[in-house]
Amino acid sequence: MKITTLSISNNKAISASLFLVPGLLIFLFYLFAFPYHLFLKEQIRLFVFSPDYLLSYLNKPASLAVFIGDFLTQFFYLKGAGSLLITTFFYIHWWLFYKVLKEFFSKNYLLLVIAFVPALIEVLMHYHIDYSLANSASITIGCLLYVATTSIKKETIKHFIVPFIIIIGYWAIGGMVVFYIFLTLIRSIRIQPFKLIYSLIHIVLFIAIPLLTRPYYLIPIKEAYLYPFNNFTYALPLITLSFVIVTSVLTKKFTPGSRFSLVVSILVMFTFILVDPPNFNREKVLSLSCEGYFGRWDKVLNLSSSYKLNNKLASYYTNIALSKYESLPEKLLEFYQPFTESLFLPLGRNSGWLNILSSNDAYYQIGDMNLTQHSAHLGLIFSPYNRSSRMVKRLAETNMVIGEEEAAMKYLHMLEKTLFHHKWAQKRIDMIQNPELLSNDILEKQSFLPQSDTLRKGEDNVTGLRLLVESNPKNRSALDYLLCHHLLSKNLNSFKTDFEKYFRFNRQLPRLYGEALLIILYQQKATKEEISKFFIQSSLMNEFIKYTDEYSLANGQRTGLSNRFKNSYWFYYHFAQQRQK
Amino acid sequence: METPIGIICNSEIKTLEMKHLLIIISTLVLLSACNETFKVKKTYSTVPDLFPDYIGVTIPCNIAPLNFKVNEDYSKIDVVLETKNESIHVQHNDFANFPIDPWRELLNANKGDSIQVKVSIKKENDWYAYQPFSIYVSDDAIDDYLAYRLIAPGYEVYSKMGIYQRSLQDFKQDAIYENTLVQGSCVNCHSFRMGSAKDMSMHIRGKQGGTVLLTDNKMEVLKTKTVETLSKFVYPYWHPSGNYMAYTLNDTHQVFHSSSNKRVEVFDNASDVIVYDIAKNEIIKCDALMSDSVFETFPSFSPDGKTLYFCSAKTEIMPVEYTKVKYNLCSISFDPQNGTFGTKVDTLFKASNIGKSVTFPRPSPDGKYVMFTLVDYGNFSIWHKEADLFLLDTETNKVTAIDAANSDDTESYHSWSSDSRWFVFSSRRLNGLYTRPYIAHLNADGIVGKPFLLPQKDINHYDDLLFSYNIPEFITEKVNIDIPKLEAQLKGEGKQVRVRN
Repeated sequence: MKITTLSISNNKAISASLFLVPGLLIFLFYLFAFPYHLFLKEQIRLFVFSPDYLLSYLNKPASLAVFIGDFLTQFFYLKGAGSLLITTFFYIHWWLFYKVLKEFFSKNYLLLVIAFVPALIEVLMHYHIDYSLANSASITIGCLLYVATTSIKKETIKHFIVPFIIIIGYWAIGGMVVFYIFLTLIRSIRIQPFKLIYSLIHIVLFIAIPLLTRPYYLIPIKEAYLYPFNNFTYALPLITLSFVIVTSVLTKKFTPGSRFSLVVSILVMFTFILVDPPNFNREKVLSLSCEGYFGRWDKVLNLSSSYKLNNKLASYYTNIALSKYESLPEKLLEFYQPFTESLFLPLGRNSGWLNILSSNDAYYQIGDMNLTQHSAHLGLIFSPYNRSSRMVKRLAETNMVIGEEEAAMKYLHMLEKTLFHHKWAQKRIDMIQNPELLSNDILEKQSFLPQSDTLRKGEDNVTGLRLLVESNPKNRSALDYLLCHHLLSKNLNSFKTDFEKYFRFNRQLPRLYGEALLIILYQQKATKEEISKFFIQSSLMNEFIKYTDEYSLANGQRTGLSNRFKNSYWFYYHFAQQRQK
Repeated sequence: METPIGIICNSEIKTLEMKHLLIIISTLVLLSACNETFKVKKTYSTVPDLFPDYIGVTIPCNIAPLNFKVNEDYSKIDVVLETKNESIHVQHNDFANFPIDPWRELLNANKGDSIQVKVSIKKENDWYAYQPFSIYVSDDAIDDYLAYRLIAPGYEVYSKMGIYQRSLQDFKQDAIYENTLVQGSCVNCHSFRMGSAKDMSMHIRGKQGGTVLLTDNKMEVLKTKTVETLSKFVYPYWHPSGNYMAYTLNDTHQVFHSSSNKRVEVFDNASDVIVYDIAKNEIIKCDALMSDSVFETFPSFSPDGKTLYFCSAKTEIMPVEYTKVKYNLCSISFDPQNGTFGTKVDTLFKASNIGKSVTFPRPSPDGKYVMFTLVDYGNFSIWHKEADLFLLDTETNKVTAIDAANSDDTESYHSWSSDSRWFVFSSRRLNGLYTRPYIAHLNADGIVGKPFLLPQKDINHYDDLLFSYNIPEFITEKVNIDIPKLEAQLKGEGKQVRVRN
């Protein structure tokens, strides 16, 4: 008897473990291996508690799912909350898929395993930066609608209710309603094949509703059927689930004996993971971007040093961090530098929204408020949902710096109506109302504002930097960005001109500038007297001699040079080449 | 001094028609059912500080309710709209939100008269009243719709924007076109013939782009770049007959200011004005409007269709001498029968003489005035804080600033209602960054009333909107564009315009 009890409790423990372990693993994966994707997802949305703002969700299909998705995504601001939500959705979907499968198969434990696979695939979708909780919510609501429909006992009532559910369903969950129709269709085939006419009506409805409502929603045909899914791949969990159901119907095996389906769905999952694996490099890049946004620039430097990524965006944030700690020229070449694009991200139609979103950060660092504002506006409107708490914060800060208080207050009042940014906003409102509370960052940026006015093109960063340095010689960030810009573009003449014009020897000559100056002086065959004006350390001059010797011996081949020169400007000058795009 | 305020009953109410009476009584009963009666602890000596500022404004007799709030912290607001014969009483926690039917009744019954507005607010447990103020209800009705583009103030944005139409009698807004329909497209320069929704022009830029021309609801997509002309069609203006459209051709560039109190500058390296003959699909060129030594821009036809107004400036080296570019208001005669121009260009207002520059000349439909924007230099007035509205009297050629409409911030694009009694203009006065539409009345004597911000159902609308209202234009009815047909036409070849020999 004791043995039996023990065995039952052991079985329960095993079952509970089997049930809990996947959730725990999912939670831990998103908490520790993929947190920054989730942080960014919150930053590229804005959920304002205001009637007018909430009504705007009616402007596109899947209003309810997107509303719920956006509401929940704001919790991604909190560490762990995103992982918890994804895990919760996993269990909800697992249960719902199981409930759906139960309609087609006789009850068996294997059903739980079959339901587990598409639920897990849905979880994996979240490692895509543009996969939103609105998609999860639409799957949940779609399945709930189906489960609710099946609970209606009278088939005739059901037939009349389903069309209404489809109509309301398109408003609530958009294209996901097709899955609901699919399930009712399969159910009809299985249970009441002679009532297929109803299913045909449902299919016609599904085809017609997006087409009829499209002129109101003003979206292309493909989007009308997919919304809120912006990518067909994201429907993979449902495709997998549908596959299992279809194969059972086709093979008329309405028992979980159709292990074939299970095997195929598991294969689909692994194929998906292999073809489209989690992008851990992007996670690293996003960690730099997010830590910068959180103001933890020391962490940006530490992370970047450990990553050693050959990535433009990673270098871009590393350079901002270096500039924060006034060590841009000292450490610039310790990191990958794809010419000047790691200083200022180019803005254009093909830049990609993540680059556009990030492009304001460097301008803000150097104190170029007009371009900060321009880039932030672009970042806001180009973010996937045209709403971004991160950009609204930046716009508020920028307007505070330039003294446009009314504009700053507009953004701050919006943020005041959010769940997690209202304290941030309130602090800034206090600053505006009591200027003595203004933060050092704002005050410093205000001291960087140019005193004179001139025009420049958006992409002409050099002119902008010169103006900033001229307006405030203490703007070391702008000076270093200017000189490093010349060096990374190998424009030594401009470097020398601006160095002589703006560099003050009240700081130690950075090694990078010294290395560049030595090339110029060498090319100009400068005299000792001329060289002495630049206070270049003799040890650096000796190294330059050694480098030129090695370079000559190696016949200009990089392979013949010592590793110790790999981070020198001499090496960059000789060997760095822009990749063909 | 405590003043009792409660539900308003007026003995003269019996003089109203039975229908009005019933509506008002039922509304009063409904609205006042939950209203708190109170005694005022203190009456301020001033009128309230409102958002939007509707104090002393002149409004059309058919405008949507002017919901507002007081710029103070309060837990409740109580507002009584009072006239000789009737009143509306509302009490809300957040802002004064007037029910639409009683509001309409009130306005209709008080055309040419004024409404007294009594505002009280509750702070903690006490009520405070302000001095009452008036809103003037004009006899002149306003056109039914306002069309505008909503665009982020990012100057070069094309990710999300659209052209919308808003019913002025209520708060309903519909999209005419959103660029979500064609990915990567930009939509701009919507224009209507004398406010007619059946005749419309707009440009859709991008891979599947073209100039969409709606003539009597018949749609065509034009390909407007030719080898003989400078660019695609840009700034439009309809000929009143509907047979022609004036467009500019521009080589436009965008640059940024370094100074923080200015943001962006848009300028032309070259620009011309042409007229497009819609029936013949031909561009009509005129040497006087295509000079290499002059920038010509912003064309508009007089209501009789016989004069083309435009802005003209001597060319300068751009962008180096951008502040030297000063546009004057000019005109040239146009023969609508033959589609030919006169030979003489008249300068109606030489703004350059006073160091200023004219943009957006817009003749009133009755032909009495030309309204324009005046700035220090250039033609991109929307980003000029000094931009103000002016009127040119076409009989006397006298130019006057519209002081009642102007503010310390930008007033730029403007358009007339079909009866010339109202004009709408975009202004940045709220926060210096986002343009908002203001509507003002101009009476028969040329006197302009205090403008009012386009009313919204939720007064937080402007606070929460991250888009600017761009190119507000009155239209007399709703625009109906066949979206599938538009998509099909955009995917097609489009109709290539020709240049008349």
